[in-house]
Amino acid sequence: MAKKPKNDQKLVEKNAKIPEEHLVEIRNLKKYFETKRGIFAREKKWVHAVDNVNFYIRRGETFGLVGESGSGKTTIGKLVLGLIMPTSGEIYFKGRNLAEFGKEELRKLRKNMGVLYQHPQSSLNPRMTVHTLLSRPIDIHNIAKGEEKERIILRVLDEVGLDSQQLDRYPHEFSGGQQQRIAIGRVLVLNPEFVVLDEPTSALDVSVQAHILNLLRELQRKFGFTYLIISHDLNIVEHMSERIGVMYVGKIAELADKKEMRDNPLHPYTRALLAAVPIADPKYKRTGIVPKGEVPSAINPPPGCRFHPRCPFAKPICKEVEPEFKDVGGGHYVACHFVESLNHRWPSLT
Amino acid sequence: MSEPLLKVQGLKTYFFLERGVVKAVDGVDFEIKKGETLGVVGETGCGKSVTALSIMRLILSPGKIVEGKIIFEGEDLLKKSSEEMRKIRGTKIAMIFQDPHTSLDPVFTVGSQIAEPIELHQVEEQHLIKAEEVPRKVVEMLKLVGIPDPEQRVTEYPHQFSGGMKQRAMIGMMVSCNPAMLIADEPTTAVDVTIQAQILDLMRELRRKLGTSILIITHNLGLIVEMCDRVAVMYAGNIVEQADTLTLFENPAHPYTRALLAAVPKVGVDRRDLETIPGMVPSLIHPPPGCKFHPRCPHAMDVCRKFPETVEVGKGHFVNCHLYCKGEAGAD
Repeated sequence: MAKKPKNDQKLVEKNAKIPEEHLVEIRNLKKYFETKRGIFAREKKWVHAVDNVNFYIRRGETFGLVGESGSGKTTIGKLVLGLIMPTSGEIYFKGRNLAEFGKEELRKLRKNMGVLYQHPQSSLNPRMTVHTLLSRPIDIHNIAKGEEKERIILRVLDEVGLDSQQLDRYPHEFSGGQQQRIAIGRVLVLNPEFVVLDEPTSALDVSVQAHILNLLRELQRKFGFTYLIISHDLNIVEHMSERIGVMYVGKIAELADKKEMRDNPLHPYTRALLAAVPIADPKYKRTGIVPKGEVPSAINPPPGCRFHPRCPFAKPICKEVEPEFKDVGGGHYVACHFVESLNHRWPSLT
Repeated sequence: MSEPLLKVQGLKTYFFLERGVVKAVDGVDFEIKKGETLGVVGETGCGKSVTALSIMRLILSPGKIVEGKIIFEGEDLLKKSSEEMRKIRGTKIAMIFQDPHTSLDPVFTVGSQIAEPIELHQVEEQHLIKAEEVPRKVVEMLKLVGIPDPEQRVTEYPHQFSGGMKQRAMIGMMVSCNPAMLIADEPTTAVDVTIQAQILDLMRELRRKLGTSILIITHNLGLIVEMCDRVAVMYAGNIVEQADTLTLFENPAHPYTRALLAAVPKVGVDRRDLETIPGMVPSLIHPPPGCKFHPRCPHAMDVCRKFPETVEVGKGHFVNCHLYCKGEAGAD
């Protein structure tokens, strides 16, 4: 019978102080989901959705998580929002561990956290008018009543670019972009400090996407939101974020400032991703090699470095020892055994 | 220059609904040469998929091709009987769809599904190969599209394949009868980026090996840059601009193309805000008169309420915009 994997690596001391500017900090975070294959299967298996992840998000910045499907990026979003509980590890919001919050406290905390999902069609109740959709969060969190409430609703509506005549309509009467604006309005009425954007524009056309991304940045400038943006599209994450974490099968392979990530990507997977993403610019110089094979399953992730079966530079040690997630300078973290030797020695391919 | 392989002229495909006639494709002209890859790019509802389905004559009621010609290898496909058309599909023109999960039948093995077009076209119709050779050919096709252990894989069902492998199998099925033209409708929208890159590599390799012409339908401008020799930009049922890929991206002429290119976030380009296009895509039942983009266009003039002529502004660079129709714009 497969044992539940033990907590192998402690990267950060449990009680190290959280700097004031870190609105969100995640330490040694793990989330395993249990699966049973087949009706009579006795063997429990664990999906290593998030496996020892460390990062922090500064107040007022946008932190981006990019990765392919199954890399665990959405699970991290849910964990940070306190919607699911971690298997182990800690999530700190404003210096306090989420695990220490009681149920009632957690509910209050969520007033301070917003979330925007990919499909506004499924995140907006089809039987509620825009007015109800916007007033519900206000009622639930007891923010305002009567005229004050109506004033908030009208103001939010204006901020997201809808008008008051649309208040009595239902979600299906709106286009995808407008529905996403309503969903943004639902976040805005609570005026949270922190917002998770989980694939906010994946369901939208490019011209609509541009409107929504611009709106999100404008609101951030105005209200000082801190964003965690999660997307499979490197183009979007790069556009929106100040710092980026690249995820691969439950782990962060590389984390750096946007500019550093672009000018000096070190992890072979980051290079692979940069080589694979189609970029709408015929003059863009492509470097790196598209990896062979497929993303491994998170149920039985490869031992050692999870990218080793697809990595063109893999050596025997990569199969056995998990690389340390270490700072190579200036907050640029990489989990690769050969980060020093690979640096500046990338084969340049077009 | 030799005759183009496919020539679409004045194609109009309308859908007759109770609330009105949806002019999904409203007068589209383009051609594809042998071995060339043309990309048709546009946003949801611009008519790009309907154009592809019209070429395959797969438009179902209440849709109807109301006008135009689709000349393929010198013959008009719109004049073919459905029996003749059935023979052309698969052998001459093949199509790959967006979602490999729904294009493969879950209750048959992948091998038997790849065998079907081969048996139908190459064994029964054309007598190119014998029935006994079909299994070998199926394995060969899977090998061609880079599926490991093809002998084992032919006996497996679609659910045992990953998304990327299903799409590979689909491509294998489509090229099994050596079609002269392949239509790929959003071929990689359902797969991850690294898998997408592999699928695109595979399509490029097949194009080189087999000399197939490819028509790619996509909303992804990055994919166009990766794959296409030429691009046609569609908006609300019309092609507004056509050019070779480099020209279109470096020197876009139509205001819609320019706006579309500026709206896309790109790795390596820092911008505070993306350019946006005001307003919304027009209704296809009651489209605006003349150039359909004029209500949203920053350069709109009175003359834009009339439909613009197609103007060749550079070699092979066609634009449908009054800004380039000198006589008319000047007279205005």
